[in-house]
Amino acid sequence: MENIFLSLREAWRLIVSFDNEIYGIIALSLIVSVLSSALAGILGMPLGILLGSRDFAGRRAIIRVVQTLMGLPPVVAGLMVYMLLSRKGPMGSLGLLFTPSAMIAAQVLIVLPVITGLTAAAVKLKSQSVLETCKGMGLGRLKTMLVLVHECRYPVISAFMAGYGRAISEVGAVMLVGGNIQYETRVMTTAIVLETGKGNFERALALGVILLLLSFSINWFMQRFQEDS
Amino acid sequence: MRVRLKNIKKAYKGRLVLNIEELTFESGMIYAIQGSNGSGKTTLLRIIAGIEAPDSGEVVFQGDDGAGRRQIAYMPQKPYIFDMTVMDNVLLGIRNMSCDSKLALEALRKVGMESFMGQNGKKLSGGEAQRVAAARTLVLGRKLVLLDEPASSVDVCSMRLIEEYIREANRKSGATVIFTTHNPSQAARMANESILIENGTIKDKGEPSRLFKTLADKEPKVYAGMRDGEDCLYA
Ligand SMILES: Nc1ncnc2c1ncn2[C@@H]1O[C@H](COP(=O)(O)OP(=O)(O)OP(=O)(O)O)[C@@H](O)[C@H]1O
Ligand SMILES: [Mg+2]
Repeated sequence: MENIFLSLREAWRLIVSFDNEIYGIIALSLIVSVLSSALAGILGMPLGILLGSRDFAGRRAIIRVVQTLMGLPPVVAGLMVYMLLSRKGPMGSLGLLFTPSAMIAAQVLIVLPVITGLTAAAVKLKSQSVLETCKGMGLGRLKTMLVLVHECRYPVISAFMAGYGRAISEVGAVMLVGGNIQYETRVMTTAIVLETGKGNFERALALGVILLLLSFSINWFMQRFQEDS
Repeated sequence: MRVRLKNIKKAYKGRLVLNIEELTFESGMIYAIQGSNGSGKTTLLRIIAGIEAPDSGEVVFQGDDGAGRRQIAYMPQKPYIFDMTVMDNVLLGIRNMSCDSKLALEALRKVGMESFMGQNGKKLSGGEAQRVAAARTLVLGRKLVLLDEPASSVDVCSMRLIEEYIREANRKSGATVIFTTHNPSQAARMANESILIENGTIKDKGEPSRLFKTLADKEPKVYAGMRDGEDCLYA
């Protein structure tokens, strides 16, 4: 009990101390996760809409694969990107290993199936009645797609948020391809691992609390985009 | 627009639910499709609308500049109202959105829903939703209008309004109207011709009041007190 109280105090102290390192870590966490979920969203949302609204050969197979990848362990995603980017790997010459770019790439791999799968499921629920109604009114293809996206906007935003949540909270991939380098690739989750290892439980828990607060405030903000709120 | 169905067959999971050798809908006429639950009425309308493809056979559209399917308006049995204002729901199908708000308002007035124009469509009651769906379908002024039980859950006054609007669409733009109904009086009031379908095949076809009598003779207890024709109760 005392421990938790101490770390809450430490968390507060860290926040108000404007410790450069801490803020750097928070900023990098946000940048990496936001960029990776944005990239995954740009790819995954259209893909999910396609999978949820169209019937084509191989659709079921693709959905199975996407659903399986939704549970892809972050370390495995990290491993794949690591092998691609390591010096002897096919893209080793780019020298991207242990940079934020590598971390973003690995997280895209983790988040893409989540956004795609959840978007597809959400769109599937409504697509039949929406498409039938649009066709009955004689709407063109583009207008029909826009209406479909409009009708599914809340669950699609939720899908995006779920993807972001997975990105900011994972540790395996960023650890592997980022390397947890101080001032360069250290993010909140890897910092927590490090501090725990060093026995600095207060600092670790403080970072955990900040991570939680961050998630909470972002969710709070996103609520205004949710249905009936 | 004239519509011809030739050898239409449709099966779901091996069960034949529609089997029509030959059926023609003449231009400018109103048709009522009657039949018990599961007889294939919705399937028939969906195939004509092009929502569903038949397993075999074809639907041919004739007349009216050959625009074919683009001249169709179809109102599904379960109306889906978009998550936007009632007004926008009606405007969506009208090509020239900015100029036609008068037209949309007029359509809403015809189904008695003009006071809801600014309200979100998702919050409407079942009957209100059906009235909006009817308005947004009929406002399009298409040459072929397909309505799947267009007044199945509205009050009698609204039923009268929807029926009047359907007649007007038929009269003003010379639209061919095909609607389904479980209300024999409504069929008699509205249609030039009734089509009775049973287990996916056409059982009878002709003058609505004659069909009414045939049905009433078969089930006298069920039809007791029901009347056909313009003067009958909206029941
Ligand atoms: N997608 C589908 N998959 C399997 N069976 C279906 C499907 N659509 C319709 N059916 C079946 O086909 C038959 C005809 O359905 P349809 O909806 O055309 O009936 P209906 O005459 O419109 O009935 P109602 O008066 O209840 O609206 C029904 O037995 C129904 O269960
Ligand atoms: Mg039906």
